[in-house]
Amino acid sequence: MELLDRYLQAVRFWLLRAQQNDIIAELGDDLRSQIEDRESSLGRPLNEDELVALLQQAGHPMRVAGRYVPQQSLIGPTLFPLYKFVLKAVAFGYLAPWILVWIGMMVFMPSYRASHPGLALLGPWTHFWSLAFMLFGAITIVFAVLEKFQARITWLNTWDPRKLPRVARPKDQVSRVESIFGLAFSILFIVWWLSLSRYGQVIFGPIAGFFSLNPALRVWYLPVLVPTSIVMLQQCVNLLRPQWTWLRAAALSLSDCVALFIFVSVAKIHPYLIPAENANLDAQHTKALVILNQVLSWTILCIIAGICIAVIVHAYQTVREVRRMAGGSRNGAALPASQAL
Amino acid sequence: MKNSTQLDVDLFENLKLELRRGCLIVAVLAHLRQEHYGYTLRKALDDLGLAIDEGTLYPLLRRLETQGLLASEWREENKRNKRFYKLSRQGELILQQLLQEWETINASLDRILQEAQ
Repeated sequence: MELLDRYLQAVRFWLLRAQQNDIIAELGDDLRSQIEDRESSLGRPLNEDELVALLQQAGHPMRVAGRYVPQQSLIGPTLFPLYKFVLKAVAFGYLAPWILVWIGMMVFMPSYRASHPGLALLGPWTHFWSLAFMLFGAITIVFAVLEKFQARITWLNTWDPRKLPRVARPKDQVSRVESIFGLAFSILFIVWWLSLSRYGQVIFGPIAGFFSLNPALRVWYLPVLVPTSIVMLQQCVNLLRPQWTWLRAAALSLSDCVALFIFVSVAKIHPYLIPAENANLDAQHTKALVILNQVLSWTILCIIAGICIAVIVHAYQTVREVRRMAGGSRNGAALPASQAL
Repeated sequence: MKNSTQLDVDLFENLKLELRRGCLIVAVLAHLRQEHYGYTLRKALDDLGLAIDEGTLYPLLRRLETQGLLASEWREENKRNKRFYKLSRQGELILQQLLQEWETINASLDRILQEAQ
């Protein structure tokens, strides 16, 4: 019976102290009764293999003990969906952009690569993990506290269906007003951009005499207007064919991809600002130039990260629109549940 | 990676578990109108076609006792200490209500199944 005693000892280990003796006595009696029954039916004592099989059938000690312990959860089923939503929001809203910016810096900033040789390039990841664990840990603690005081949270019991968000109906067409305003803004942007070459001095203000743009950037001066032109074209088409909702999502996706290509190419042209011709920079201006270039680097990286997110969002919207159209042509337009029933 | 057959088996086992959970409580309460200790109760239920393993029965008995539906006492039998369980007065009242509910559900289910056929 040594095996049985070892088994009971293992079960005891996982039980609450106050219940240990009681449960082990009862469980031990049950198992001994089973063994006696088997032995009387076989007419001989159980061998080791048969005893092992009987104990295995009873279950792993931790699992057996677990059934006696009251079910506990750090975050219960009521709050869990909200907990998951907050974790996702933090992951996509903060951690994912962090990764994108790091990749951008590693790929497009030679100065960053130079200052982080070899494995030092991975150095920021230690910061990333501690940040991620801190955020997820803090959120988990907040939700665990909420779970503990859930009975006192009144908003789950005193809710009003009239305050729920309205059902989002998929748009059947792109609003013409939206297209007209979009076109007007696109034209304004193009005019402003083209005026930069003539009135750039005014825009740069007092620093115009000291700094000028890197001449290599001029190659990208006109291509910057391509994404806007794509969107303008879409706005013109949607003015005539407002029911082509897929076109808007597709044009935005295309425009994002072109913009991403342009900004990635621009990011490689470092430094963006150089000393102006015939300008004698003193130490203060040289320092300002370094800081300005650094700020521009960061700005461009943030824009690239933003465009990457926009590419994903608009690609998803395009697929959704195309699928909705395909589904709509087969089953009719999607309707809210109350109308569909 | 589980294949679809394994998933079906798992799904069935989970649904069976849910279906059995409530039935086991009624069966245990009903059978404990007569005093039993755990092993004899388990054997009796098994003989009547409702097998229940010790890892399920004993935690259930403890829970029902904590809820006041069962009363228990340790007594010696066959030179071994055993814990005997019996339905309490409150348990009897609850069992009556559960059996009424059971009959209502059963009758509804019969009608639903007949209608479906």
